[in-house]
Amino acid sequence: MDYLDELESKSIYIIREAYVQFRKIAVLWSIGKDSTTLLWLVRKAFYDQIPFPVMHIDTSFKFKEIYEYRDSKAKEWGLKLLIARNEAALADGMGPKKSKLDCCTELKTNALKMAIDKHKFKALLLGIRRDEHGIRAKERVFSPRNQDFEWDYKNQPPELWDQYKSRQSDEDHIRVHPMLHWTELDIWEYVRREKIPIVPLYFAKNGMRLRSIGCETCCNPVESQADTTDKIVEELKTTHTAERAGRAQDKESAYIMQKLRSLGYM
Amino acid sequence: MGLFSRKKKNRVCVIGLDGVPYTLLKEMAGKGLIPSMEKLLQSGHLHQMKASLPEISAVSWTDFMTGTNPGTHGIFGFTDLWANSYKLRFPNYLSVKEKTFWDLLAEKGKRCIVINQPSTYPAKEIKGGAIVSGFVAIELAKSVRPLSYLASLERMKYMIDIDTMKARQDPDFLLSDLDKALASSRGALDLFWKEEWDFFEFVITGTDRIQHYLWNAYGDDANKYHKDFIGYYQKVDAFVGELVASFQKLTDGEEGLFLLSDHGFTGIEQEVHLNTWLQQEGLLAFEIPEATELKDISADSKAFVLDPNRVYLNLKGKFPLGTVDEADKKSLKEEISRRLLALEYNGRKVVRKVFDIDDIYSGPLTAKGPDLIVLSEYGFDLKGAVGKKKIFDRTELQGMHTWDDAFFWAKDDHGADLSISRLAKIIVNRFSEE
Repeated sequence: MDYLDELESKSIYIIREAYVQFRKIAVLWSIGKDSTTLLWLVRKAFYDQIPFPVMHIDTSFKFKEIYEYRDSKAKEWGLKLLIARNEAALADGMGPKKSKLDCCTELKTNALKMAIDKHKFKALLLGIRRDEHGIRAKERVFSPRNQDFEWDYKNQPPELWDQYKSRQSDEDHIRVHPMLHWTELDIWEYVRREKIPIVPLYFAKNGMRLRSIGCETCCNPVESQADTTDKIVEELKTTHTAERAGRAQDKESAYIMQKLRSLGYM
Repeated sequence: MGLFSRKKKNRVCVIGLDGVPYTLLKEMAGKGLIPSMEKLLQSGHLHQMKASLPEISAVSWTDFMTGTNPGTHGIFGFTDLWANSYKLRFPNYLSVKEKTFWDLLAEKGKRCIVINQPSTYPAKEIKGGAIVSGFVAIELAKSVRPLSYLASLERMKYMIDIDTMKARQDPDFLLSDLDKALASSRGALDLFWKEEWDFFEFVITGTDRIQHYLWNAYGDDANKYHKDFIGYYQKVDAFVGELVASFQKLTDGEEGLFLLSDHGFTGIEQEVHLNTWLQQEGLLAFEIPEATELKDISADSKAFVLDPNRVYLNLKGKFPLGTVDEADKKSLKEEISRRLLALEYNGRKVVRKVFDIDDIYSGPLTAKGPDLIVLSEYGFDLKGAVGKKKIFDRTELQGMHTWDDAFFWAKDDHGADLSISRLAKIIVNRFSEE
């Protein structure tokens, strides 16, 4: 088995394990390269007949390319697509102009909370990777969340020999991360090998491309000439900029908060 | 003096030891455990010193570096609120409204090097000098000015601080990370010491960290980590000894040498959640039952607390849901103080003193700050968290800060009743004696 086969088979093992244990499960699809790769793996795991819904959390501020891509692939791949939107907050005028943090909370976190409540999901499959963000280094493959979506990263069971702990007392749902062990470069090498169709926003146009996509209002492109998958793979082998450097969330505050907590404040 | 000698009469070197208590230093020196500092204690004056109020690093070090108080420099804590809101923000070095003494020295052509100074993130260039920010610095690239030093620091894997998130859970990790941090401090010292300078400051933060997590190990020789605690202090002592020896080589004396801590330390008996107390006293309420953030405060609240011990009256005009009139301010302050002073735990008084801000702060920003600062008795660690069920509680943290047991060492006697905001003047005066 080559390296990509190994990554793939570990992920598929986790996906099947999660489905067998929970049944009431969904895969989150942000339409980005990671969750699209995850969706690809999920399709493979179930021989193209995914036995659960695919959920898109729609803030309504996504790039138009994302919507076009979503609708065409959902049809082509025969997905049970669920679109989760916080209609009440949107009707109330919530948007990034009000406050970026509140906007994320209302249109992403709360939209997801409402969807979980409505459909009574016990587990969610997410395409996060350990290398994408400092805090994610602490994530586990099976990661419990309580009702407030709080993640007690200091109180997690160890996961040795692929024994994934899937139940705890105060949990609300479990987040399952089948691609935690992948890197950004792995993703692109796999995309290239499998010829996975990817939203065109990732490919350079006029010297700029997006390395990480989300809402149109909060994503900034990076300088790049990489307009093909091959060129992106080459670019990633030499770059020193962080993948999410173009994302606007206030990461420094989150770090400070965690640091102060560890010293007994807050 | 030779033509190429680096000896200069008016060099100043400051060594900061975060959180080291006066009483502990004296006790350890008395037992012969820290020979380098013991020697200093014999050749100069060890002062017991008052820290800032609140007695936390962010405020105390800013008092130190500006020679002023929060009413003037504007740093009231690690956290603050956005204007006219209950939303938390994190003030940083750019929020400091007063010049630091090293900026003033730099304007006079003195070359200043300041390493690992807490509360100087993101780093700002010191004219003709260099700075490396300390706690709560995040990215090294934003902690080093001029940037020409960044590559060297990265190469030596310079650590701003230990990984406190991990250290809190694991004492063995704490100890090994403290050693790593101290080794990286040595590297940084070697790098900057050989530069041309008039003022040099170096702060060690590991002393604060070990006391937060392993304070109980100090006084108890049966404690599993007792030897490690003493051992860490001895390593710090050796570091200080080397630094002092290098300084003496440059100046032929200790006149320009100063050591200080930014607050003292003692053991925690109970953590005291002041917002929960205010709730039970009927002075604070929240819109939702399980509120964990101040932004969910109810309109009929009279007061709230920000970490660790800052009491804010919910004043009309100052806060969006303010209910307290300016005219009622005085009586409400008195009422809260009276009730706080009556608070007891197992028959013991919890609060030692309640300061009215107008008596301790001065300057144009005073009104932006809290109305009262609560000083606890030793052992009662005050907290400003929201959503705690019990007033009194315990976590695995072992040590808490003290206000009146910081230390200051100088060759000369600077009198009793010293507070940290007076040191800037003492240090700057060294240069006017030329």
